[in-house]
Amino acid sequence: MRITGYHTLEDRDNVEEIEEHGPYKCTRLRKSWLGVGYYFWDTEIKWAHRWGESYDSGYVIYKAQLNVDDKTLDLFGRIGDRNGFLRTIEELVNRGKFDYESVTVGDVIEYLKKYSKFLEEYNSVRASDKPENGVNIKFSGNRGEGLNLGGDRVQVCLIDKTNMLNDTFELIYPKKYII
Amino acid sequence: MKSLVIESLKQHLNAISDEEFAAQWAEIKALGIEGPSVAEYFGLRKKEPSIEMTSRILVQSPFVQGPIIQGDYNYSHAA
Repeated sequence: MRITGYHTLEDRDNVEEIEEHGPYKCTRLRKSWLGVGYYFWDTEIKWAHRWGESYDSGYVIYKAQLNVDDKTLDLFGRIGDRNGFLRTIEELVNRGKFDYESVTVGDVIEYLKKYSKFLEEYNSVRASDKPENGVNIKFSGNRGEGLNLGGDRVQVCLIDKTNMLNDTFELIYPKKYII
Repeated sequence: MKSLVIESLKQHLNAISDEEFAAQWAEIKALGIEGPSVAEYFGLRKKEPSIEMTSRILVQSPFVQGPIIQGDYNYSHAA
C-alpha cells in the first residue's frame, strides 16, 4: 500500500540541501524508538507539526510517498508481524533473563538487524502509539463492543530509502520557502 | 514477522554463549535508544505464579442448612 509520509526537520535555512540529500536519519538516537533510520509520520500531518514545535529555531516539513509492503515490519497494521515480533522478544527476554520493562522496542529491532536475517527481509518498520483518545462507535446499539477510531500516531522508519518513491520528496512547510 | 527472521535469531542464540550474548546486548544498549519498553508497547507483564484453583469451594448458602460445596451439584434457590 502507498502512504503519504511527513518528515520533520529543524529549520536551518538549508532547504535546497535537504531537497537534494534528504531525508535524513534521526541523529538523536535516544529518540529513535524504532531503531536507526529515516522517520516519517504516517498520513497525518498534525503529528509532524507537533514534533516540529519542539525545535526552538523552527521546523520544516517534507512529504514523500512511501510503500508499506512485505518488506515493512508492520507492527501497526499486520497481526502476524506483531505476533512474530512478540516471539522474538520472548527469545531475547528468556535468554537474557530480562524484565520486559528493561527492553525497548528499539533494542529488539537493532539486535535483530545485527544478529539475524532481519535486514534480508525488511527495509522499514511501522508502528504506532495512541496519545489521544479515539471515538468509540458501537457495532450494535445493545452491545458494548465497538470500533475505536482516531487518536493513533503512526510512524514509518525507513532503514534505507528503497521504499520512498523517487521524486516525491518535497518541501511543504513553511510556505516562506516554497516558490 | 517472517519465520526466516525468527528462526535465524534462534539459530544465532543457540550458537553463542551467555557471555557472548551479554556482550552483544550491552553493545545494543550502548546505542542509548529510548522509547517505549516492550512491556509498555505490548502490555507485557511478568507471569505471576498461578494460584491453583479448585472448583470445590465451600460456601454458606442462605437457602439450605449447612455449607454447600459448589460444583458437586447444581442447586437452585429455594422456591
